[in-house]
Amino acid sequence: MKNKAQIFNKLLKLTLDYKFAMLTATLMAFLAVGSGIGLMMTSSFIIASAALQTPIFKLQVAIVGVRFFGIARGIFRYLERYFSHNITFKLLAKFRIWFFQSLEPLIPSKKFDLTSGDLLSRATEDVESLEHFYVRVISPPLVFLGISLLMFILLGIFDIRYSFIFSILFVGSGIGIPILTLILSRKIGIELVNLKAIIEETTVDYFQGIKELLVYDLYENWKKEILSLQNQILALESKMNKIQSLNEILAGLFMNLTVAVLLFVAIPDVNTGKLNGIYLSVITIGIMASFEIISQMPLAFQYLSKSFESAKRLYDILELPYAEPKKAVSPNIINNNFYNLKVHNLNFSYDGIRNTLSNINFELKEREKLAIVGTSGAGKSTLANILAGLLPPDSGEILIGNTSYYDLAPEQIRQIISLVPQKVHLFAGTIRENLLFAKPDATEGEILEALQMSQLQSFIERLPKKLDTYIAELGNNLSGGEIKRIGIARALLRNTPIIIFDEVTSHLDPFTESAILDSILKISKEKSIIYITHRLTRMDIFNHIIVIQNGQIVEQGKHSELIKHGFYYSKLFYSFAKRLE
Amino acid sequence: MLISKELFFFVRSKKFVLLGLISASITISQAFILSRTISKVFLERNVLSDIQTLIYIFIIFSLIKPLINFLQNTLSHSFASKIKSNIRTSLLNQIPSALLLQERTGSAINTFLTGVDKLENYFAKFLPQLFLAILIPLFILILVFPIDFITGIVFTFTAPIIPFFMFLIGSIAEKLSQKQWKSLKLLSAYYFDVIQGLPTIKLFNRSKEVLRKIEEITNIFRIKTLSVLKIAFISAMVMELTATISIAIVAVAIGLRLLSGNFNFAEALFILIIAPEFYLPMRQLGISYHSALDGISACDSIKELLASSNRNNINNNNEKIENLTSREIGLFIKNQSPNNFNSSEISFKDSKNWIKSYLETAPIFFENVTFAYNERNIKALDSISFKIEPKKITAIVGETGAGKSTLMNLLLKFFEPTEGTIKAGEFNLEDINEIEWRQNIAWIPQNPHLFNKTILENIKIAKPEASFEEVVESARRARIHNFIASLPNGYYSFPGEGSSKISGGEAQRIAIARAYLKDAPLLLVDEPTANIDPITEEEIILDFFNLFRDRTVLIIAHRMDTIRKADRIVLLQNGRIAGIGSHDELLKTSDYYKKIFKEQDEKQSPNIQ
Repeated sequence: MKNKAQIFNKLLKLTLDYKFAMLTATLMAFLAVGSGIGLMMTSSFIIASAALQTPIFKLQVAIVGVRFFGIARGIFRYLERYFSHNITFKLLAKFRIWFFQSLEPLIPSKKFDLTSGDLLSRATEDVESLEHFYVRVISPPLVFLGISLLMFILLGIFDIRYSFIFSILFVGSGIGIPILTLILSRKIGIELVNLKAIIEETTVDYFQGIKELLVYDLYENWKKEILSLQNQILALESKMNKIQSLNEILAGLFMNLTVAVLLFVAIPDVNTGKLNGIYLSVITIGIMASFEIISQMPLAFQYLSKSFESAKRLYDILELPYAEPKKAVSPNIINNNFYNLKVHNLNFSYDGIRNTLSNINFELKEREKLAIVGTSGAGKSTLANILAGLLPPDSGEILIGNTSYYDLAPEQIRQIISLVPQKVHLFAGTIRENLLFAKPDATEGEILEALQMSQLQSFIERLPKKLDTYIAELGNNLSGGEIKRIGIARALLRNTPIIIFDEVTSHLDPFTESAILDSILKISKEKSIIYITHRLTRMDIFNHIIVIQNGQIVEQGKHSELIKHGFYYSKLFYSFAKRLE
Repeated sequence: MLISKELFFFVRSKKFVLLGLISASITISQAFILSRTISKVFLERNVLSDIQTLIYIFIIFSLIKPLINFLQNTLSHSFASKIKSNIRTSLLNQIPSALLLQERTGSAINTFLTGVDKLENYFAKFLPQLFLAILIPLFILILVFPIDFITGIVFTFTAPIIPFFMFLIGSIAEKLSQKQWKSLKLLSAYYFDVIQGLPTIKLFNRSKEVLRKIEEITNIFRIKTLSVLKIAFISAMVMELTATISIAIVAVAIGLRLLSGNFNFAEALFILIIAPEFYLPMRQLGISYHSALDGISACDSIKELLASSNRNNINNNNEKIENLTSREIGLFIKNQSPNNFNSSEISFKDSKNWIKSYLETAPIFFENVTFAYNERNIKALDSISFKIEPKKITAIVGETGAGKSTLMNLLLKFFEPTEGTIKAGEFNLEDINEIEWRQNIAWIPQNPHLFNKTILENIKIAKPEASFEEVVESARRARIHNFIASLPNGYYSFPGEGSSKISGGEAQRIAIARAYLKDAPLLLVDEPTANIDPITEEEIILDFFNLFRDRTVLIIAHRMDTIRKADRIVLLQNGRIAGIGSHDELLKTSDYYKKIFKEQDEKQSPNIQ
């Protein structure tokens, strides 16, 4: 998106809440550097004055000044660190909350699989990298500016020419050198990023296919390929390092040059008496001390462009189009007590070209059990997401009772419909916390009932800490089936009139699968059920089965009828039955 | 350990020491010139032309110094690069077993790429800085003592305070703040978890609460961390104060002696200019401390990954094994047909072909094979003995965790048996070079990996020298040719590209095409279970059996059709053999086998009302 100025403005706006804190921290940083300059200048003043046998009482103020600056520097540095860390943490929290808030309406997205690990870990890393925005990007230039002004004024007391000579060289090294190295390294930087992406892609590809590489005797070739990529990167990095080392090296050169040039200008002034000789050393040493801040400037520029990139990637995600969530029109639907679900001519497409779902029609009466059957990629999970109000349909109508989905806020839809998704996400924390996530005020009795229904009670009984076991503690001991069952229990706790189970029995052994189907039978006495599956076990328990292929309903009816027809469903069924599980 | 033996590189490298000394000398000379110049102008009333030369020398030094620093920098950077390259090479040479077991592939990749990169700052910044932090202050101290004893004493006594506090940070305050950094990491893990779970959060209408919780947790964290850092910063402040206060002391002390007339202004100014330079390297060391910690923790994960390899020095042994094998095969051939062959003339290629024809008649034996992935773990295979007959189909049947995949891993020589031997005819598999051995195996895993290359290349990995026609022919036989031809770029399509996204079934067929192309005598197959719809699955199994004709096959079977068609079935249970025989035999002898099949039979007669 957009140009850099816009991104910078947006970032700055996010930080503005903390402008006073930032100002304080910057002031402390300025005072710390300033004290360093003060220490060196007063010190040389004492020495130079003493060399002229100035009476000691005339030096008392300077001696106090030296002590003051010596101590002040440490204290200001301390305060600066404290304040700037405080801001850093605050900013990180701010950026995190901002990203969460902005991302929330986009998920699940039509365009991208935003829940894919890569994209998200990239995004969270980007959010984290913005935490340095104040310390690295905002603060150093401000301090630099302050010190430039301070030195301009201090030197101006003696002669305005000194101020200008100093300023030109000081700004040159503080801004000119970093920009120079940034320009010099830009091409290499881009090349490096590209190469690093390639080596990462290749390594992932090859590490995942390592067995194939070994079996087909390609491992040695592959090793050479990766190592040669690595060597290209190392060569570029070494170039990059050389360019970046210019920052430090040239800053030192500029400092010495500034001193030399000023000596050339100031020495004749001393000779003519325009400048008191005492101040020759004071000025020289002051200039040397002021260059301390220069060392932070290159980093500021580097972090600035890094922050741009991170922010750009984040905005690219956040500016994906999404349907504005609707305000509720029928606030009282929950009390309707009439939860027939009716889907009429539903169409949905992810890319606007190919329909993932076309012309879907079905009806789910209260307390009925509907199975949606089809191979993977047929569009079943998309349908589940639409029914749960996570994705808006492109066209067609969905009615709960007599209320259209278009008149309901997604939150309202989900007060009526629960979904156990194909990928159950358990949060870090205890099993209990994960269950309570669905219903924070659930009683112990309700939890027990949900556990029983989802066939989890014996598993929980075997755990030493029972429900208070941390998910992470279980690690590999938590099987895919158990994760699914926690997901089921969680959905049951919400006690909605309609529940959608999306592939809950894949990865379960036949015994558990059967037990879960028993539970679903039991649940269905009070609730309507939509059961999505590609595993055709005990299909006779469902009132109605719809068969989806390539986004369309190709067959529907009861199990016995469909078997008798001998079409797609019966083919699916018989070949499935031959599997040894 | 912060100081590792790599430090000695910098001490041993004469170039590096020399550059350090030159750089320090220049800094000192410049301070000397500067103080002399100012003194001459200030006290001796010299005019510009008198001291011009001094300033020019100062400028020349200013120009030389960057060159020296540049060389120093390049030297330490190339040292770090060499270390990084070496570590990556040895990681690749040892093939961490984590990768072969497809466990934690993500973290292995992370360590291989990012982890190794993190060593950069440690080797290129911290270690050289550590060296300079010792060298430069010592150098300055030696020069200062003859000029002014008191300053020398102040320097000597204040200098150790800085490293002392640095290590104090390292031991006490740092431990505290490290704990905080750890919880910072936990916090970002929490955030990542929450973002990943966003769909779930929405499903439960809990977005607002979660947002509040993020806010709350980060706030608590911030307050706690700051209270810890408050203490950690004190030691940093002491470091800073030590430098500034001792400069203040030195300045005042010298000033007072100048007053009493027993000190030279030029020398006083010299000391004042050099004083910050004395403390600078040590303070800079403190700055690079954190990146050093990062490098050390990266070191740990690299070591862990290296330790996970059970194939140590496999490359060094290659040559030895190759020779041994060729010789043995030569001997064997001699014994078989003594008049026709001369063992010394057998080339590598001949021996390969020989194994191939040998395998067409020789069975493979498992003799009391036991395997455990590592010492603590339970045995994945426990004293297994059975025979794989040539040109017959042997099926392995068993539940998850019975040891089926381990058996394959051993036959593929990804791992060596912990106890017992696997024999190909009369040869111990351990003695056969792994590359030669695998040239005789075609392998179809459950989830074949398709590389991010064209489909043509993906099939050709089985036989890199194959012609295009050969590839097409094997694709035809695997019944994937029509699909490939229908892709916009045909054989030059990439497997991941948009509409040409390859399904599980198609990937299986590409693996079959690979097997046809390789045309190996021994075929190892893991029947697919998931990701394929049942109808496609049935078709693929039919294709399998076409491929199986005239080959020795070991198949991990999940379907009844397959099991019934197998010549021999090996039934595994918890790493042991629970029965061997044909389907009918096992039905008679094994209750466990009967139980598995009973469940199947029930399934097959659906409850039609």
